[in-house]
Amino acid sequence: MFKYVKRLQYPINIKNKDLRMAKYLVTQYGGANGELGAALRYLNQRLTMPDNKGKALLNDIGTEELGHVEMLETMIYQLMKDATLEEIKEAGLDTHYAEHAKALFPTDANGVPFTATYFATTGDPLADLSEDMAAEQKARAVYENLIDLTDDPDVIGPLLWLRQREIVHYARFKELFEHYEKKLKNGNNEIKNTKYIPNNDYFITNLNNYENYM
Amino acid sequence: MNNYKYYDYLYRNNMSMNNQNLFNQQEGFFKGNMFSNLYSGYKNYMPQRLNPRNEQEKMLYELDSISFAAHELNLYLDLHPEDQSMVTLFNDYRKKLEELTNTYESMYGPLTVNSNEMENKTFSWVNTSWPWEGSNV
Repeated sequence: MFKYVKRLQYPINIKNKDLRMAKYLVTQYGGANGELGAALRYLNQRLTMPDNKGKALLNDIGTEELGHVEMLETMIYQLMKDATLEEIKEAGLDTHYAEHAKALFPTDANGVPFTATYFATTGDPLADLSEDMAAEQKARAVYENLIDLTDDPDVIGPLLWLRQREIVHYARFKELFEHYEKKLKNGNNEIKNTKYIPNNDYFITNLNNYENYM
Repeated sequence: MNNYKYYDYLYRNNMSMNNQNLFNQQEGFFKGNMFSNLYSGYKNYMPQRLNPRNEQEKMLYELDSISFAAHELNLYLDLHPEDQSMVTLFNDYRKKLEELTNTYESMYGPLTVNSNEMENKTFSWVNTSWPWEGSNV
């Protein structure tokens, strides 16, 4: 169940239109490393996390990412809203305008539409958390590229802030990854008894076999 | 730096002062990271210093920063639910957020549809602006 709060997680007030920047920023809305993909990936993976710590963390970071989707939407909307048709053509957004006018549409910076393959879920908690750690690092790198592409402080401020959130989320996912790795090595029953996750039993079986060979 | 006066209140009531790994809620909110040991800047960029344009924004930014601090501790506590001092700090922020939310809503309208401020003749949810419109963000 989700509840809407009528404010942004971090304020955005962009005074100057900038269609080129809107065109680049859209990748953090609907691209492979974007916020929509992150939100849905974590909210999808949370169901098969093997303990309550994992379910809580994936739930709570996934929920925060929905707030970041709203921030990206806000930035793109504010950068585009006052543009004239001439400016839209000049920025190469005429192809976007043909199908969506000034409405938002989740794509990457090259116009490739959002796809569910960005969820990248295997059901193996260690593989999924490795994916999540990589996703946070890739998003951090993309935010740095985007900061390089603008000199508008109204845009740089929220981008620096969002970049910092990737750093915190990466650290939390890494902590959870190490927590599961340790549990598995100790043959912890809490994970072993999670019958809902066949992949997890598979992992432990393989790990035990591996230890037998040593 | 002149916007510091807006945050006197937060400095005086700095609930995270006793934990050396935590920024205070204003600095943590500006940076997007409450944990000084996790903070990592980009090039020579400094975090944006938010200057409230009016009384409503001033109160909203206070509310944002308290909410952010509570959320950061929430993520930490998901993995460390037994950390008693952090549980206490989380609850301090949570209560402060509830208090500030009630004050803000009584002055500027509901932030959620289950707010007590919905007790009006007209349905006030539709009368306040949306956050992407820039006047209430």
